[in-house]
Amino acid sequence: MSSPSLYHQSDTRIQSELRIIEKSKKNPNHFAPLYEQYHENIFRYIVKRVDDVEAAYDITSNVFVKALTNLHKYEFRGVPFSSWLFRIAKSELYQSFRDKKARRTVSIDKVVVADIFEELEESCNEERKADLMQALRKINEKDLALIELRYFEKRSYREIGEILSVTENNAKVKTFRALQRLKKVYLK
Amino acid sequence: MRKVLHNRIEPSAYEIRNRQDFDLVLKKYQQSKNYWKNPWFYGSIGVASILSSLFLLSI
Repeated sequence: MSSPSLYHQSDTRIQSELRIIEKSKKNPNHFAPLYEQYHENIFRYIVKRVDDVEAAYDITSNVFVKALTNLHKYEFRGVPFSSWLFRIAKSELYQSFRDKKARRTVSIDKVVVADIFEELEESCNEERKADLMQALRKINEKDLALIELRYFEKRSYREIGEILSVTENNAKVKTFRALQRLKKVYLK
Repeated sequence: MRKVLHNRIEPSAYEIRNRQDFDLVLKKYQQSKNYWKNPWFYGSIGVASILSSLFLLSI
């Protein structure tokens, strides 16, 4: 269930993206290659967090509309374009929850469950699995977002930091604390 | 309360690719741009400003 990381890109690829971005600022038709490149990753990020696949397609589409609308504000400062798109995706996702267009969902599989139990230093059985599900329903949204990015999607702390607009170190500390709080809720 | 889905089947890469629609994105983008050009948009701002001014003057 891990997502392929788009973070580590070659300089050539980053430069090529920047050329497309500059051209797209003048003419949005040039944005098509970036849309094709990132559509699946953005969709997968969204669909894991909503209960309805069709709603996920709509939200994904809105992410790219927002990206085009705000493209003139994008400047490369070492932050990959993909992270900028994920920030928009995060914001669109929460907007859809506020508008009640989608319902907040947590998608997990047996690999994720096994990894989480390992992180919690607990052994896994059906009863404990049910307790974990309950804990995932109860923890606060910020903690859940960190746990999903790190343990469900296996993203680096650097990438998590870029998506959540915090430093890499801060992302590491916050993720550790989120896991501790999950453990506390789970053990209650 | 949020939903937890276990072992959910996600659409395949092929299905997702088939649902790409850049023309729709462009269309929505143009519509959002045109929203600012719509006289009704400025009309409503104008009416709201006049009403607010009248309200403030009446205090």
